[in-house]
Amino acid sequence: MTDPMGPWRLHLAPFLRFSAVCLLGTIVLFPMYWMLVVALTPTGFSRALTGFVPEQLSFGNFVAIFTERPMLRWIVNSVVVATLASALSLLFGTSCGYALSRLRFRGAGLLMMVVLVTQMMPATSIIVPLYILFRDLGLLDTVQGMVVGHISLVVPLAIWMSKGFFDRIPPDLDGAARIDGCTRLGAWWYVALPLALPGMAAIFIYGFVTSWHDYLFAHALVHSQELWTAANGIASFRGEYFTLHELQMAAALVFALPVIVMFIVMQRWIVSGALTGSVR
Amino acid sequence: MPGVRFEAVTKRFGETTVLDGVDIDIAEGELAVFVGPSGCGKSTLLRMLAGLDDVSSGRIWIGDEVVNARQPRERDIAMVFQSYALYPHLTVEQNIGFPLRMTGVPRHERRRQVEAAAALLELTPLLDRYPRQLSGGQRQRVAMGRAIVRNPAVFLFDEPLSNLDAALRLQMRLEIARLHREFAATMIYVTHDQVEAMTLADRIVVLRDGRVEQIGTPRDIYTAPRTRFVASFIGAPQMNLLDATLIEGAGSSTLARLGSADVPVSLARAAPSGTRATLGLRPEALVPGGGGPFGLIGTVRHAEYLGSMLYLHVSLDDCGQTVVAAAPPNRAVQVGDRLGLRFSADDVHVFDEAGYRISDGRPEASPSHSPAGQPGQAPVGDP
Amino acid sequence: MSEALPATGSRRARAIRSRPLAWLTDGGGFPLLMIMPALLVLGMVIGLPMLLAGQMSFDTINFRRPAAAGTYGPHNYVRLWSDAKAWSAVALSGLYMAGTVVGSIAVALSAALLTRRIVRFRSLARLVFLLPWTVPAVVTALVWGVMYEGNFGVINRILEHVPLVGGANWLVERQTALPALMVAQIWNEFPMAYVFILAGLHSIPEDLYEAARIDRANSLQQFLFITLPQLRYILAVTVVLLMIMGFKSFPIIFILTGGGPAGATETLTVLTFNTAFRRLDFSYAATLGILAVAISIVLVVGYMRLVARLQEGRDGP
Repeated sequence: MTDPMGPWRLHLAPFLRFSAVCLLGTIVLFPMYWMLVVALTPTGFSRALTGFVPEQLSFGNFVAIFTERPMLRWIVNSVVVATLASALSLLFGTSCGYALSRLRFRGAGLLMMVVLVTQMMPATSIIVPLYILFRDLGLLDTVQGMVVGHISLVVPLAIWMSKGFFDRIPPDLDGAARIDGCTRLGAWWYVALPLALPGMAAIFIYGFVTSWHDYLFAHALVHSQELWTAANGIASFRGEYFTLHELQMAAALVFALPVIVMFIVMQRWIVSGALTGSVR
Repeated sequence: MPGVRFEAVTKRFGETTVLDGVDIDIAEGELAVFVGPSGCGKSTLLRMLAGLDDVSSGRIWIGDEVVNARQPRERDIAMVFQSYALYPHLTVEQNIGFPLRMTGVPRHERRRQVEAAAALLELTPLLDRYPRQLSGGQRQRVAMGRAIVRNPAVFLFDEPLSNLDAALRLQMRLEIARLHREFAATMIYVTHDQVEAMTLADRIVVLRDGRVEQIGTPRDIYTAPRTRFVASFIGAPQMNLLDATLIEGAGSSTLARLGSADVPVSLARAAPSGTRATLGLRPEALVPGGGGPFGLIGTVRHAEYLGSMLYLHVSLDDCGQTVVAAAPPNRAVQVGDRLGLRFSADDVHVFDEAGYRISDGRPEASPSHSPAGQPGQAPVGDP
Repeated sequence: MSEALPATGSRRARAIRSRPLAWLTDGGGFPLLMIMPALLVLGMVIGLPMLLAGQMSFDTINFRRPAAAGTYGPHNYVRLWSDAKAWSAVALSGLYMAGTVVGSIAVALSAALLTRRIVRFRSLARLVFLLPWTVPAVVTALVWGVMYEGNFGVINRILEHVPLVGGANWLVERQTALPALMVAQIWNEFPMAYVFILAGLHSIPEDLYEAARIDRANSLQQFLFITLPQLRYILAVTVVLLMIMGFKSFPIIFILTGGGPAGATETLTVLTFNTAFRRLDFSYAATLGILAVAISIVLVVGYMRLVARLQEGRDGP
């Protein structure tokens, strides 16, 4: 305390660090902030902005996208497709995740590899043959077709993530259940599955968001405007209202907001889920 | 209450052999303890009996049936895991009742049996709690409750007390002994703790590197260890092991030359003069200034006062090896003191160079164990 | 338990009848039962299309020349071999991967080191750096498209005030288009790297730093000799995951430039899509798709090796 420089030495480093965090944080947040600013500026006026705050607040853009374009319809389509795709993927993928986590069987390594490759390969590779297949099956331009397409995106994810969640359940519990009178199937059903339930919810949300965010399948497999999902719909705004940034941003905001809000609410949970199966 | 029999049971994981031709016969109603250092295969043996691990070769019998191909649920066993393996999503009542639910016992009957088991283990006030709300000892008792409610033919315990503190461990040990008396069921108990093995077992099975070293009552194992390994593994502090040379004495007697002392030992089979051997002496057999006929002299290097006992580490003049001797706690000894240790010839265990007991003592005329590294010589079951 | 001993005739009959079922639920067939649903679905939505892609790549399915369909041969692969555009797309994909990986790691590592030991507003700071993750690629594309706008975009407006740096029509000019796309991609995907690196930092035992401070190591030395070696594997895994993400990237590039200007941003994924849905040459697109799958298999094998080594490093001494 006798050293007059003491307090300075103590406080300078944290201060520098704090400033750096603020600077980096501002840069990272700016695009989202700017989306909000432009979305709230009256249509056609964002080019006149000179500062970094909206000069006039207006909700007209939001009204416009819902009245002049079938935004609500697209959102409903997205919700339907994402719910179905994610739920079905979970239904089909969970038991496979358990098998990969617990059971030793021939081809397990190969199956794991295949699942990983399908999750990691570019979806453009699958969309080309899928388009031809759907054309022959009459699934082009249908909601069912889009659900099937999204299942191909979400099933590998569901398998991989549920393997991660089952890995965290002590194998002794399965052993105890089998000694206590369960078949192998029973041990999974009565013990492992109930314990993995929170994980299943996380996978459902992940799958939902994956489907909700998808642009490629939505763009390639469906042509009719009334069947578009929201991702495809708002992307079309860039072509439709190329210079009307305010409408683009309003639509983008409406589309992104549910996921952002959900993320903020369930931050911790989601982050731990993202690490499952990869590094933990 | 059927017994359990392991017949030439072998377990391989890929290239490594974890268990190699194990033969064990456990009688009805017996409490057998498998003991050995970690990695000796004792837990694998138990898991194979439970049906959780496959048997590579050999047969496992429960009663008069070979159970190799039976699923765990078909074996009529109950198991208490080291981790307790309580179902985290079920209450204590549901945990204990789980085996009954799975075997289709009706609800009211289930309730009655769970309550009976809970009363026996003093768990009644905890029935509505979840495992995460229980202490370690309480979890342990729930795991036991889940085992006894089945009334199984065989109870299996896999290091059930190793996660408890010392006081609880003692208490639960007594509890398990009481359960064994009350149920008179066949029990197999795996542990690495020799105190648990000695206090609980009707018979102890000592395992090492996937082979049976010795099977016998705690008293047999302690007084007549069949190998040097068993001698050093059972008993705390460890048996003192001293290098010696055997020489022929007058008549048919054999002497072991330990430094300057010649100790007469009685051997089960004759050994030629000059044979190198290991002599084993338990600390309590070495009495400082005692009245035994034979003596060793050395310097006290270290003294451990344990309240009920005083252990003296003495480095011997003759051979330079250090032995531990047990002295009465009130004896005044200081580091650096010269000390004479007396012992009697009856307390000397003699092991040959391969580590097998050759001194007479009591049982086991023919060793039923093939020396490690000599394949082809099939081990013979314990008589 | 009683059914273990088929004593009476009827019991034996029941045991035999239920054997296939028991084989599936409690015997050797159990793994099969468990993987069957996923196997069927994967086979239908991925296996079948991939087989079809294989077939298509030897066919001539071009909607501009429907009559050519059914002409089989290795011509698509021959064409691929000497197609400068395809290899330039692979090179662009590589460039895009490299740029986004370096950028994402740089931003994520800085953010993680900065927020690692923060005490106040800790969760807020983390939330800020995670938030772009939640933004859909489509929205990322739209927002950056608006900001990059050449005439009155906000980025050019900010750069007006910075000396020596001029504005540009970022997405339209050849030199700036690809870097501009990378920046948008980095903004969208660096949070994933941030999460991994932060987890890695938290798994470094604090006493390593205490020991280093006792040995009078300065901050830089602590970073070089403790943090980096300890983060080695997690960084490696993150790099591979980022490479995969960069390689897969489609919506940001497609929406913002569509592969233009004049093919300057036409990566392998965008080229595949354009070949099929703009030039309507589905067979050649399928061939390009197979090339992309082959490249991702290489990346996945690298990833799996790394993860295995990571786990080894954790469990080992």
